[in-house]
Amino acid sequence: MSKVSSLGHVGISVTDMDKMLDFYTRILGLTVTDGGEGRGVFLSASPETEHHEFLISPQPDRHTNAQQISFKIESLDELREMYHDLRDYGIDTFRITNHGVAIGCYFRDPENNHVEVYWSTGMDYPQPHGEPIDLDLSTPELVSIIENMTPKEGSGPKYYGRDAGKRLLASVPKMAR
Amino acid sequence: MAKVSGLGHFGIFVRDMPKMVDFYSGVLGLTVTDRGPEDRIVFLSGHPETEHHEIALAKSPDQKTDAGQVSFHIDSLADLKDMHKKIAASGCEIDRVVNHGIAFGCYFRDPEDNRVEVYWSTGVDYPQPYADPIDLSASDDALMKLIEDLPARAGTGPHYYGKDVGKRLPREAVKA
Repeated sequence: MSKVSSLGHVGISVTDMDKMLDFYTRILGLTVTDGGEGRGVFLSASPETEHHEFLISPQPDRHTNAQQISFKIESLDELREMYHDLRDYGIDTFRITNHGVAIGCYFRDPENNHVEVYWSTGMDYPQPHGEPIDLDLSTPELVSIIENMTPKEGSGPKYYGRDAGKRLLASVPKMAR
Repeated sequence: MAKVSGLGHFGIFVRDMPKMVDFYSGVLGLTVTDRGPEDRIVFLSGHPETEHHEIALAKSPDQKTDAGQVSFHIDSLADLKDMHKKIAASGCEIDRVVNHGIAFGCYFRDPEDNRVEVYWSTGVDYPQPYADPIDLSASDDALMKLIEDLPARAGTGPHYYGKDVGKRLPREAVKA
């Protein structure tokens, strides 16, 4: 039985290509792999293995209105640095959230797309879950907050990450499938 | 210098949650990893052990996501052929099936008209954008020959992705 193996890329519509390209390359650090010259631009964080993960296309009359576009980052220190870079760039409104499975830094890109950069904790925690967290705490303090999260009832079984005993089985099965 | 390491997940607004969950889990084969109260949000992943969610479906009565494309990997050409049949059988409209050189992609509309692609990466570099219609009912050999026979063409970028088989000509060489 065939099934898809993973999310590969997403494409969004853009009004100001120069501004958006500058933001996604210089601030988020994606590499331009192809395109341009008035058409869409292909971007990737791992261009050797993935030709594009993100495609921005000039379509001024459309807005993608994604519920979220979320990019991974490899360490907590890098997440903090990215948060500071975004602030220096001029973004002034953030929502920094501890999801248990990840710490996410949510903001609006220059064209009001809802973007998240997140560091995966590697620990399972039932979703959805979000509580505000201060990214300017030290890395050990942040890790301690995650380790000490209260176990919570999950709708499904454990799939993701390390089982730290945080997923309590639902008393009544809620999973339809 | 901090940089993101990859696309992780994408969230789309949906109206009919049961229908959309059915499609993304039943047809595309993603695993539901968690669900919110009253299914206001449902999380799905293609490899749930390493990624908690790659798609978040968020119920909204009035918001609509208009993505250029939401594209999923599939592991083999045989799987892509099978998935193409499954998607058509599910009643979704197939927009186009194309050879991108770097991938064969099957583009279609999900039950709420989002533009979705399932693609098999060929592992070979080819300058983008490029798309040529193909027929997935052709034999694997015939389809692979299409990749081999692609003419070299100019790319705007240097070679990054996949195997370099000499199909990417420098921009300047062509202009001269």
